[in-house]
Amino acid sequence: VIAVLGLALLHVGGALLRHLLTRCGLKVALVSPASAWFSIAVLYAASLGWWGLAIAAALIPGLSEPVDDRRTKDALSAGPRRARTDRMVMFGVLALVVLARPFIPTEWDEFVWLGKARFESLGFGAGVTAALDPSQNVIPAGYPPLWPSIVGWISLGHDALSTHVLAASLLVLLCAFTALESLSLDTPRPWVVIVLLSAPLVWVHARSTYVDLPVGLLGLAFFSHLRARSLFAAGVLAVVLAGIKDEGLAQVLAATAAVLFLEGFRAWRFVLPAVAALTSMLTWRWLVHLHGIRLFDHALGLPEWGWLPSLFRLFALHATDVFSWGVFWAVVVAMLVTPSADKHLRALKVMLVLLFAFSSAALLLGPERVRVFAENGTLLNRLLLQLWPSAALLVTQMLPARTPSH
Amino acid sequence: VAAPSSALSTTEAILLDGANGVTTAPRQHFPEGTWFLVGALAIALVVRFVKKPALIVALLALAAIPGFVHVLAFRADAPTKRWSSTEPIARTLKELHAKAPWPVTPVKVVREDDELFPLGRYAFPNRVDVIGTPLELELRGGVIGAQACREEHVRIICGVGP
Repeated sequence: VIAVLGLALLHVGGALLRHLLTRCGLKVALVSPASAWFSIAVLYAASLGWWGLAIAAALIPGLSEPVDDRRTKDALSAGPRRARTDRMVMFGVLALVVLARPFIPTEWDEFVWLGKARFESLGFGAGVTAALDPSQNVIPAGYPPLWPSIVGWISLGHDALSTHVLAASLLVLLCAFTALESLSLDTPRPWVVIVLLSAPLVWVHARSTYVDLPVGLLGLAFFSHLRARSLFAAGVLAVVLAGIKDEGLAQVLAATAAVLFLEGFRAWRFVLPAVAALTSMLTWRWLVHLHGIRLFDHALGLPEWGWLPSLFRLFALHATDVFSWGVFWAVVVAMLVTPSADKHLRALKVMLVLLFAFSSAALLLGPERVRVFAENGTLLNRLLLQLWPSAALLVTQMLPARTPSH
Repeated sequence: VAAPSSALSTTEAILLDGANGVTTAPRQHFPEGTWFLVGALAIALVVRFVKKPALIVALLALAAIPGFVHVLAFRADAPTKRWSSTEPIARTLKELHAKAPWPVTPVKVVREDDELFPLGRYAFPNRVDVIGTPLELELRGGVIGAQACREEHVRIICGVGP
């Protein structure tokens, strides 16, 4: 009950903020899952103290091009009656899949993330304070702090395992709803369901509180908001993405490049949310540096070119593991090399290829430790999960276009 | 049907590798990898040239079945097994909280084996230097919840192991 109340408070607060800051109608803001991220972004900036003002300042230019009610309504949370019904059914089924589990963590990183959420029971922003204090030995050192902080906020500071797990599961659900509401699909619904269920590992992660799938889902939502020219909402999502995980910035940059490809590279306003994300990431990195925290996993160095063949071999082996992925990635590769006349599909392909390039670059430029993780089989599937939402959208969008009549 | 050797069929296996793959394949360096790779290339070729989306959807659905058999039946976190497999985790965390509630009773963690490391990180998310004689904590690996956490002098010992 506490976690549900916590999320409801974040959502209503976010909807009010969205209504006040953009021209989005209150009713639309209240029914749109994306609204919750507005209050989350504000709380994140506040948890960083005065440094959070840098993030607030980076978001302001996005206000210069607010979308009107009609456009928000059409592009995001409403649409035709059938689409609304479909969306509600999908929301319900998804909620059942994600929440029908014991509220006890079972996988490695769940404990680490949820442990850090406990700091918020000591006071607002205590997670950030602990992460920036080398004597507290919080792991992984220097990681962006937002995900566990949000779990703590949704838990309203209540320090109980079941509350933390439910809060994190609701957060996963919020990410999924935010991505789903931003899509409009012409594909037959049974096909969409099969595509969503075609990768068993996605089911596993949907029922866990890991951050990889949520990062991919929010990246997709960011892409959709940017495409709908909802710059402020996209900026908010960009800040959140960079605050949750460094890979979130990769999602923002890839989506921005894809939209620029779509709109033309003179449409410089589309870069504003990416600037906000960069500011968010650099502010955190600056604080980490200022407090003498040593980055282990995400420090970048010179590329390890000699490891490139291993990288491709490992990606290929992970992506073709039939137990985890079925033939999902084989189908994605086929779709990527199939020419498409639709510019939106081409933009989505650009995003996906860039995401793969960024993931590869992070492994080549990262410390030896990340390559050891990749060799041990504890990393690459999780990077593929971050790519999955965009890839799943590509597959669902391209299926109808492959009928002979097209 | 007995679970195959590649199944993540214990609480400890799920803890270590449950999020890294549906089976132990990534940790075992993909023993069937070459066959899967060849099959995936063949399917990618077929999908590239086939004009029937229903066939692609059918391929996606069929290929997901082996993974879902693991997810829904063989894995220790399968829906029917998850309640029993999470019980030792909940019990150990409860015992840790009873012996040394965080942050009221700080501890010095002197041993953390892999199987219990994550539980220790939830129970004690920070590790500050304790002034005076600290309460020491040993998290011994092996089987989660196999033995209740016990106190020996100023040391709490959870788990079994040498």
